[in-house]
Amino acid sequence: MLIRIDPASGVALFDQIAGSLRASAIAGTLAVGERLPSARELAASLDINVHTVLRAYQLLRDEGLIELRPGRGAIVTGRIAGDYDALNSAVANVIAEARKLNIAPPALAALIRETYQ
Amino acid sequence: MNDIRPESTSQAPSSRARVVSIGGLLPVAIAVVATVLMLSWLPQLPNPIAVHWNGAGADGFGPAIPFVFAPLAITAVFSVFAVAWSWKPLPSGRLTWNQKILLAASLWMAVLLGFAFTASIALQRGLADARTAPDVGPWLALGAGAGLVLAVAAWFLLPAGETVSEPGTEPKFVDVQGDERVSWSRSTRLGGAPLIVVALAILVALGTAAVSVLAVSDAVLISMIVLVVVGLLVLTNFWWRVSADRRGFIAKGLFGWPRKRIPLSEIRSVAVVDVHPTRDFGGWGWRWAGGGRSGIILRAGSGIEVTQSNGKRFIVTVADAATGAGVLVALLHQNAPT
Repeated sequence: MLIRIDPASGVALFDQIAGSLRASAIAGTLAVGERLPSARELAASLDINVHTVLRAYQLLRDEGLIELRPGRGAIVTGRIAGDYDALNSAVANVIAEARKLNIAPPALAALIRETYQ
Repeated sequence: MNDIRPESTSQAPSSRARVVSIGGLLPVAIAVVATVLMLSWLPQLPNPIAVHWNGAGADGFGPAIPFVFAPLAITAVFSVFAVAWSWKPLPSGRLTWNQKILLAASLWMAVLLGFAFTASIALQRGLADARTAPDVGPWLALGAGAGLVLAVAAWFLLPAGETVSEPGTEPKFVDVQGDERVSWSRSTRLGGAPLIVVALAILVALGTAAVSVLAVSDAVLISMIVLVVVGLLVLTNFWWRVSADRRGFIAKGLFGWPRKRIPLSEIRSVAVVDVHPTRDFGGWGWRWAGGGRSGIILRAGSGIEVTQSNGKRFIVTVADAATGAGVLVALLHQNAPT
């Protein structure tokens, strides 16, 4: 599972981590039963505060995506409700189109964010 | 080994003939001879016979028949295991080092068991009471030595050992923008088939231990220790977390140990490889192969291969290896002075 954060983006870091994990779950690269790295491990990996990671994990726990087990870390237990095949292929199409037009990922993300609101 | 490689793949059948005769037929033949000898001495034996010795003399007694057939049974099981394991030589007709070791060990064990059991029976011929049976220790040592000589000969008679490695493919960069930080990680664990093999190996070890308890003193304790150590090793090699991030490439075992970390600054190149565990590494777990290659080999399929600046290559089999390798190359690129 791939997690990316951009400290310069203005979005809270814990939100970015949660968003990355949600996206992995939707894309299917984060399967039910997969064990997430411990908060300490992920914090060291991204060079951020461990409480930021814990906050992201707690958010996902409240959403029912993961379960936090003391001493055993976080385990993916639920799916995000819904069928994402259509969305996944739509995303692939959007990216292909953006590549054709040489639109960089931040610009594409900004475009989606603006349109979404 | 030398550099002359057979070109054709027609070498495989002749290799197999040598594998079967040296690792299978010969050990079983030795065990059969031992069994026949022991059976012919049955009428001259006391009842019960001595089946266990400590330093002071015989201290375990039992019926003769199971004792007489034990070496044949153990040898047959181990030989079948060794031959099955080596049934498929490499396309060049050569064997992996593990296959060679297993086949030579099969012969060594047959000689050791044959010697030890036959000698202990021979020494009891004509005795009225098994309690007066003389010590078998020297014969055990002699058997181990003779077995070693034969095993060394077998080593040279067996097809040459070889390790294989296929060039990997270059990973696609994972997109990393500006100050973005990425962290990829994935857990990977031992798959189904190797688990069965490991279970079988432990069963064979247990069986061997159980029967050799009859012949060797203190074997219970030793075999228990060996089993506990093997069990722990299997456990630590069972589950791993692999990660790729600013710290480099890291693989960590179930208890955070063993662990292997290769910092980005020590990575020369990264590739995605296709791994065949038995062919490329001779098995599963933390493995060493020839040519400076080592790795954590848990399943067949994709793996991340990291070439270190000293030329050594470290490989971990993991699902979605392409993304992990892609993160590494992207980070290397990001770190490189422009």
